[in-house]
Amino acid sequence: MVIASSVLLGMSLQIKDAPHMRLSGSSLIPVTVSAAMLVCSIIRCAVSVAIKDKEATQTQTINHNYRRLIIAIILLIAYALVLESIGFIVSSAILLAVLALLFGLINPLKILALSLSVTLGSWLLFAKIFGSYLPSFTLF
Amino acid sequence: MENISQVVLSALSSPGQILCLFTGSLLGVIFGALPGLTAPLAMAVLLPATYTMEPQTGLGFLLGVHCGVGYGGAIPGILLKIPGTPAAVMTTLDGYPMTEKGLAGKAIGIAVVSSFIGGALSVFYLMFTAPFLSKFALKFGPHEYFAMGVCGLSITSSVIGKSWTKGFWSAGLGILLSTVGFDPLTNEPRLSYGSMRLLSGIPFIPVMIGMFGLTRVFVCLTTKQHDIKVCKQDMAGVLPTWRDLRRIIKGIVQGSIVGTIIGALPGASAAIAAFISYDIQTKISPKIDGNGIAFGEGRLEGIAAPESSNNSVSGGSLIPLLTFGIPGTSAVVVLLGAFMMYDITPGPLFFTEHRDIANSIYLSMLLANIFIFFVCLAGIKLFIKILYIPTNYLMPVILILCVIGAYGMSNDPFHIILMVIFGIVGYFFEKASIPQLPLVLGLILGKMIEENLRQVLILDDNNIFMLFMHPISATLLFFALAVFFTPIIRTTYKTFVTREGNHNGSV
Repeated sequence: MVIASSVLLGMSLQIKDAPHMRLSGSSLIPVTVSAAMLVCSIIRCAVSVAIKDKEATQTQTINHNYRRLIIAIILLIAYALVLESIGFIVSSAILLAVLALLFGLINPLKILALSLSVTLGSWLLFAKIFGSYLPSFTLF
Repeated sequence: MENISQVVLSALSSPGQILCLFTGSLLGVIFGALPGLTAPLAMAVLLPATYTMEPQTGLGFLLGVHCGVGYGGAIPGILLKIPGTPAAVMTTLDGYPMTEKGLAGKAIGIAVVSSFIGGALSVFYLMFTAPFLSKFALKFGPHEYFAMGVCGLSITSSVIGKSWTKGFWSAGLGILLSTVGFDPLTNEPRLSYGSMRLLSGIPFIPVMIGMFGLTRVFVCLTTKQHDIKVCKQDMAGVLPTWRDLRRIIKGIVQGSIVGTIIGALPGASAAIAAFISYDIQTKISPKIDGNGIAFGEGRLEGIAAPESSNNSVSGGSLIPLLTFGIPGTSAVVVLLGAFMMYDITPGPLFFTEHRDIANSIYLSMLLANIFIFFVCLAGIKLFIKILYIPTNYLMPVILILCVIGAYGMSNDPFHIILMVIFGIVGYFFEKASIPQLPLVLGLILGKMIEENLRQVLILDDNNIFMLFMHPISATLLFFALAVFFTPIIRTTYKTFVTREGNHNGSV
């Protein structure tokens, strides 16, 4: 928190104000708020060091699988990048299939059924009934 | 009186008008329940459907959508901790803990009843107090808007839990994020670092979906399925009992008044109304109720007040529109478009030249609230079945809805990436026990606070104390300061007393 606040304060201090708007300029809120954040984080740091932070010493009883999280994040970013090229239906079907695998579904038929039904259902509801724009295949 | 009976008879003899109103209401509930799909988007998407309708039918359809969204937003918030609309964020705070205790049905029942009473009351306020409220709304300038924003932000202290430093840090980050983009006064780019997409600022819909929706998906991904337990839900009492109603009626009435007033202020949204109403409710209610439950742990008043408030905004937001022709919220902008399409000019002469349309609007809103009330109550058991869908089926569906919600706002894939970034931020906030709500509050209110504060400084020659010279802003600021510091002082005092007690005991 301290490092993040310092970086944010540094970024805010780079905002230039018009000479006639010193106190009411563009940097007023960013600098004030980031300075307050820095103070809060220093106090938090000091309190954690001075008094044992009980929240930090509680042992986690739940196992965490960060590999799945990282894969999901990469997948979502890739999805955002290719969405408008390969279209909503293809990209969402692939996304849902891989996500279903990550969430523990093993049966290929169930994965296929889930990804296709949800994708087509969403497309019907949003694109056809609600009239929202969902990108179509434009690669070639 | 004759006019109203004529309108009622004309509506009842036109089944098409009733059908369109009910269809609009149902679609509004669906839009509200889908994360990221807000009232302005719903009304904008469905506006073309009204092109061939008669004015009263078309306006009734859109008003049904407007009312329905307020009801729908609470449902995923209570069941899944993913608010459907920004206005439902406060409902989630007490609604989801009730689901964890097996009381999801009761929570939704309270939300629906409160929304209904709040929405119905706002129609009566609209009918009888529009001229007075519109004059009051005209008194709001930069001083008052700034004070109102600070008031909305002061609720941070009620929701930050034990660590106020983490809560304030989170709120500060939200306010800082709201400053990204063009400066509202000088139009200079700020903190965008040459990115064209960041010039228009960080939109709060992808942030909200990321912080609440995607964080849940990420938590489920990183946790083994058997670690996430779904509590057996009690379906016996979904309707609030008389005892429950006695407890929540104060919150509902307070929420309806706050919502109507805030709705009447141009630029203020249902989310702000919900924040302020929840804040007021935490102050006027006992800290711990008769069952030993505090706010944020499943208090009925914590659901009733914000739900009543955010639904009352639908009536209040029509006040500046009908009396001055000024749309108060984004959703009402779409409604103004519909008025123009039908060649009806809202404004000072509206009530004399279009009395029948005005009566039709009141009736449509009342009927929409009644219809949605019964539909939502009847559907509670169906909604709760969502909880029993296995996580490995439910989470991918939620994810795709989140993606559509983030993308649908402006058809920009960058918003999906924003949603992912804030999903990661929300995940780490959960791990570090940093509250997420203050960040969202700061992001929503930051722009309003900054713009108005700087206008105040320019108008009053950098003399910030002039804020206390305006009666409305002074009142709001004193209230905000009291709300802000009371929980902190209380917590610090309790910690001090406990430590003193332990020290004396050991001695």
